[in-house]
Amino acid sequence: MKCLKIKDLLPEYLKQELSIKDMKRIEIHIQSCKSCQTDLNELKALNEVFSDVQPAVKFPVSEDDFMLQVRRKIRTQNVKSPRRSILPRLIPIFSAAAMVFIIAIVYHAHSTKSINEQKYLSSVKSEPINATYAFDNLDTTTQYQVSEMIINEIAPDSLENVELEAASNVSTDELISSLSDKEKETFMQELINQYQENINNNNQGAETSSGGDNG
Amino acid sequence: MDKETDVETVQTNETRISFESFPDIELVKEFKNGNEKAFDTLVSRYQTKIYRQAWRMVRNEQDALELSQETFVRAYRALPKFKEKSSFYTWLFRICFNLCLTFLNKSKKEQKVSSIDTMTEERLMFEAVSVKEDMREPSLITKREGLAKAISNAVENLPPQQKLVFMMRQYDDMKNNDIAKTLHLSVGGVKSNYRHAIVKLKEMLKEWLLR
Repeated sequence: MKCLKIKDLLPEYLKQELSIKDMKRIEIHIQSCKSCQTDLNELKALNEVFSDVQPAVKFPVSEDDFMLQVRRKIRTQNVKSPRRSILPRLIPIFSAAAMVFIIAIVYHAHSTKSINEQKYLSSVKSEPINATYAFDNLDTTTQYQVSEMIINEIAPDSLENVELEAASNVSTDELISSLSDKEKETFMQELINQYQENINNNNQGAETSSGGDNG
Repeated sequence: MDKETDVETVQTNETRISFESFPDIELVKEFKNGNEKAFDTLVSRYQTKIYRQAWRMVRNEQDALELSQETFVRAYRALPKFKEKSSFYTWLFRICFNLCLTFLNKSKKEQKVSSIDTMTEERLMFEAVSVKEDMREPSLITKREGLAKAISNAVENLPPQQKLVFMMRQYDDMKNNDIAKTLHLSVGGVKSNYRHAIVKLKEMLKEWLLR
């Protein structure tokens, strides 16, 4: 390794963050290079000086108070715990969002007489009513709920870092507007799937309960 | 203290006893499995560091407190989807950094503060780390206090990005990769910022290095 490269790696060398191989190479180089040796000694001296002090930012509340505040905020904002089922939250959202899709599906069923979801989704691109269009036509509250759901429940893997972005500085409005049409459609497809699953479950539940009544 | 708070405090203390030896990754798993106490331990473990990070950026006690608490609320919400591509600590730092950045940009729009480039409402201060020998040697105490003041001045004179990188590297024990992810920089960018910071600090603190 050349001096320039060695000097570049000296901070990592001091913190022992390099591979054993690189650590050895630097060690050997330093033994025979006065300039790198001087740099290393200066860096060591500087590190010693820095370790004599610490940032004096005082934590303004007790640790317990901090934690209590966090818990209260979680409660106030009604942040869901990981164990909660998604279905109770989906039902009110679907009741509004899915109406748009029912109209779209019925419209399409009338025009083609047969329908399955995959064909529907591949064909909606050429139809005036497609998923993106449908999303854009939801009222603001439902759009908000739907985008919240993308973040919390069914963000597809293709939306890289969505959990991080959602957790940090991107509002749900910004997030949804940042999705491409393709991503919106993927999401809407998931909505349809979950909606239909929900309907099926309800139907099965109704059949079971009516069967039980009959028996 | 009301009854509810009392119960919460007791639970808080119990949490620390039962989970404090768990590594972050285990706590994250526990939380994903529905164990709320695991999250409390993560809060307890990182609250001071996250608060300091927030303060360093917004330089205001109340705002830093709000933002650091909000960091944990966001983490609570997003943890079930956390894919553990980075360490929990880095992930948390990044949430905090992004929240502070949004706050600063919003404040800039409202003309409260100019931006991250001029975040200097309260000064960043250092204090001497007390060691046993100091008790027997009063001159050492004076020396360390002088050093703390000199370092405060020197670090405050760094450009904002170099300052952040230096503090994260030197005092938060973060690696280049993690700093890069947090600050949305390349690893080369982090190294370059750190190198420039060191060169400047070496120059500004040279009389202390000779002692």
